Amino acid sequence: MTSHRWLTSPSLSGAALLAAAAVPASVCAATYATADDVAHRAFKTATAFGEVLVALAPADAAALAAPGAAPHGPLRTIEARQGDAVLGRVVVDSVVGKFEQIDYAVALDSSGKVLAVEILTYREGHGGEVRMPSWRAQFVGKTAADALHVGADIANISGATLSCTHVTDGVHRIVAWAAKHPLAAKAA
Amino acid sequence: MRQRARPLLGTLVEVSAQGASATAFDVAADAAFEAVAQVHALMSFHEAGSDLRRIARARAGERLVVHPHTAAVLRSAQRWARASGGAFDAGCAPRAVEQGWLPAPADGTPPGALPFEDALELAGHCVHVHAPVWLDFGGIAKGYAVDLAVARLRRAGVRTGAVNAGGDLRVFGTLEQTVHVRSPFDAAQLWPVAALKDSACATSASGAVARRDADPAGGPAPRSVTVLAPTACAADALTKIVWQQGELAGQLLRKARARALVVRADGSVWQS
Repeated sequence: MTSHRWLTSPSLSGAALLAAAAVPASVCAATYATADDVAHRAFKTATAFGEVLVALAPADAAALAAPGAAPHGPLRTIEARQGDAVLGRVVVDSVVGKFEQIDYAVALDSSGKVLAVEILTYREGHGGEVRMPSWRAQFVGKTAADALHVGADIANISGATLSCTHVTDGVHRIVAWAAKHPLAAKAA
Repeated sequence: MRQRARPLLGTLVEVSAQGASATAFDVAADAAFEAVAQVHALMSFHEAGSDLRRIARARAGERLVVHPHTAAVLRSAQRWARASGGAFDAGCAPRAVEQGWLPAPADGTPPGALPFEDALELAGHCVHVHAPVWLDFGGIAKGYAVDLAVARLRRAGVRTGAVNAGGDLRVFGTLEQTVHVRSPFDAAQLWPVAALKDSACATSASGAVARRDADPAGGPAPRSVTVLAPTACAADALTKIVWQQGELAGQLLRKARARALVVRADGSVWQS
């Protein structure tokens, strides 16, 4: 049975709403998946998965970085295998938008075709906070098991549409990199 | 609560469920994402092969068969356009192109002046083009996609959950869920504004939809409009209508069993 009701009183002004009802924590975060989850979903017939950290040549490190950003660090990938055949790989990356940082994973088959793009984690704060190394440092070394408690319980947010342009651009960069560095058909 | 998210429809589409096993949720979420991706492919103005671009290429007098989803959204858009006296305008793509929000389709037939609800006649899944039209389903397709994704989750056995496509969201099941709205004054602030059970919510904020001047008779210009409605498609379309008409949309909202929260630039609020 459909039902909906306001939690705010009609006498509130926008400014009063801001003061009375705003969530004091300015950070909102969600953990959706791990890169392993994405690999298992994308390669259901795989018999083995292997983490491969790819060291990037300077030209690739520059090409994989967002415009204006520092060169990309080593690329975290997971290779999916069936016997000694390589089925494809998952590439992990993150992008920083105006208010948010998005970690995402791209699953590509052995020909470099995108099978899926999934968001791993999403976190936001006031624009500046995300870019501040000290603020970001709190997430370093965290796994999905370490719940990001700050605002993690806030679901169902409506409002100014989040753009995923940065993710789309990142996916394009990864697809171009994968085309340049095709997987060997057989596992080494 | 299990959650997955993918970048679709130009935004982050989040699917969540309670009480489902990891395997069951994975299968259900895959089906939901697939449905959203299909709506995206059919109704994108950017993709030359989409139904909307096929319609934009059509000349007066042509008939074309569109996907049942496209026909359903068009039928719904026409109903909202007529119910709102044209305030809901899905034929607004030429204005969006003019403003640089949409790329000009090189292959489009120059659009006419006839309102889209009169220019296109639907019979089943067949569109009879009386006059060329460039449709933009930006104000309704996201909501439709959310409803479709909810239907897919339910069909896959998920009893309680939610689908959120960048603020067009629907919750389903027996649990009452709180919806937060981003402050139009500070995107980092969240307002817990509504409690929904088996219902939907959509918000349009300043900048994203200010395509026409608001009707001064309906009150000062809004900064953000939030609508609660039984379906996400209705909530999505109604935010555009309330944006144009303000308090004048009160009767239409009641008829649709919907409610609106308008936050105006001066900080004043209208709630129905």
